[in-house]
Amino acid sequence: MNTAAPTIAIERLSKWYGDVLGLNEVTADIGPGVTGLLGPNGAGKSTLLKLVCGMLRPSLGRVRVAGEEPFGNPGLMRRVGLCAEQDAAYPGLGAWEVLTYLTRLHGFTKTQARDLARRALERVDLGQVLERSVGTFSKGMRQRFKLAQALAHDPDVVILDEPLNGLDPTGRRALSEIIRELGDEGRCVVVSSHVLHEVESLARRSVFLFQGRVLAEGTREAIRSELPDHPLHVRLLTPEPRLLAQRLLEAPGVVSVTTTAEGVEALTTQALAFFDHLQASAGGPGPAITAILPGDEDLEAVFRYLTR
Amino acid sequence: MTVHARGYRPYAGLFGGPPAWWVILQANVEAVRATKAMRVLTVLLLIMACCVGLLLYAQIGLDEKLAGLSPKQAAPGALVESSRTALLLALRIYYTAATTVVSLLAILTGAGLVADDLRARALTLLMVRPIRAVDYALGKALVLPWILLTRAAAPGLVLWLLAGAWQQPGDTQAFWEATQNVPGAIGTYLLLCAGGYAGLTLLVSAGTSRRGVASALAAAVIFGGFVLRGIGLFRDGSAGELLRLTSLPTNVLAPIISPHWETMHDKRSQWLLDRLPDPSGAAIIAGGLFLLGFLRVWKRARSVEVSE
Repeated sequence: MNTAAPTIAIERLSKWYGDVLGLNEVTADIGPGVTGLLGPNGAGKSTLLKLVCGMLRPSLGRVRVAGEEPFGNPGLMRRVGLCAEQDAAYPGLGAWEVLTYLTRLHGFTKTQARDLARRALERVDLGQVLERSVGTFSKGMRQRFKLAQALAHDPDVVILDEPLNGLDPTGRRALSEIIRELGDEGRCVVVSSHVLHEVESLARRSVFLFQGRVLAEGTREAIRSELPDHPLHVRLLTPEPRLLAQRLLEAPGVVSVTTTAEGVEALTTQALAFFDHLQASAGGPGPAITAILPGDEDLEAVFRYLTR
Repeated sequence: MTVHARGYRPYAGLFGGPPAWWVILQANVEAVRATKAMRVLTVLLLIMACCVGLLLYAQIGLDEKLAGLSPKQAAPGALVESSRTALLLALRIYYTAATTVVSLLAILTGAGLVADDLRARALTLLMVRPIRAVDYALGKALVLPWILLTRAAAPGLVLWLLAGAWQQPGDTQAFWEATQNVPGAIGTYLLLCAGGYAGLTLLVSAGTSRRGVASALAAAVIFGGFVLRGIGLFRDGSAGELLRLTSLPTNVLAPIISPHWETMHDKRSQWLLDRLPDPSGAAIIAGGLFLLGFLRVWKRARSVEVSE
């Protein structure tokens, strides 16, 4: 394996379905940790994930996973765990039994596979229902089962296609926690979603897809800072809003300041200089700032600006 | 910067293991064995085999009595021919009686092999593992042959061994020599059964996601062909070579029935022998069905494994 390469390297990757362009010259590098693959329905997220998993042949360009091309290379799937978007369940068979079978396909003996399957089910909190048929699982339990089947063989690349779909807030929180842990363990985790705030708390880095193209790639702060046409919206909480508003007018790049009951909302075109100014004046005399909240630095806002 | 330096967790899993088709075969045989239908049909076959075994034992004993000989007084080889005829008759009775059970076994177990995976949308779960479409097709294609070998063909071999064991001490070798074609006939029966039934059920199973529809289609072909042949025989007394070959249950019985009738040397036996399907035609049909079924399943799996 080429260790100098990112775990998933995508280079000018295009995919046509007949006359329809599914993916258009996509280039992205995805390394360890959780990466969000974001975009509305039809943006090309599933196409990209299928190309990464070798289920589609690239029309142009190339994709490499752990240094190998995935298409026509089923051996590579030993290292990849896919949590597909659609549900799949063997009616009548217990979760443990199904997962043992799927894990055995990775080359493990029956005993090893049973042990790995049990551990994976316990990890996603399905340890109490090992023998229960997957067909009788609730939506949340099925999502967790799908994650377990992607993890049981201990892959280093984990592809999760809309893993939080249809989950209630509790289930979403539990699954998000597991996904974060996977990233912290050093696995390369790709989470696709069309619900941006879902990924917000999970992924440090994101790849924004829109109409088959990559709009931006990186951390959301970095992407946001590269949008100078859209001044950064910052909310500052203070007991003295009017005084703080006066001070902020002197800060670099500030184009407008509005006072509210709780504090001040400012728009700045020079985000870094603005925050440096705040930091420098923090120790001096003047109104106290109790909290700094991003007003439009969230993924929703970034995506809105990118697609505008 | 290497991916390891960025916190990448190197893959520590397996690169080898048993072939995937073997795992698929084992898992499916286990699943089929656990079904109620399978257990009931297996018990039925066992009862039939026991009854025929008793009949064979009685026949061999009766032949000895009719010859007015006690086992110790029998001249070497005197009873070999009658034992051989008794064995051929026993095999004919067993396999003819088992035809309906074997057909039901094939329909009930084979029809769900791929249809259940399609219904559960499990193909994606399977094909994102280190397996190829050919592994999937081979694993599925060998399930029914394995079941038929252990449930249908093996009792015939046991009857043959028992008949040998029941010979007088000096006759055993002569008996093996006189019946040396029996394992070949049972093997041919198994090949025709495995090819015809497995091919047909795979073909219909891969064409629908509904096990009931697949079962009905398989039953229509198996029993419809049998009825067609019967109508042909009723109308003109011979049913033409092609019409005779439409009956899968009769095709597979040909190698078992013909050795028995060949020993009879009477007009009725000749009449029946003339109406048995041509062995090479039966082999072509079984082989063709198996190939078609295998290719259909392979194509199904291939469409999930990769798309151009």
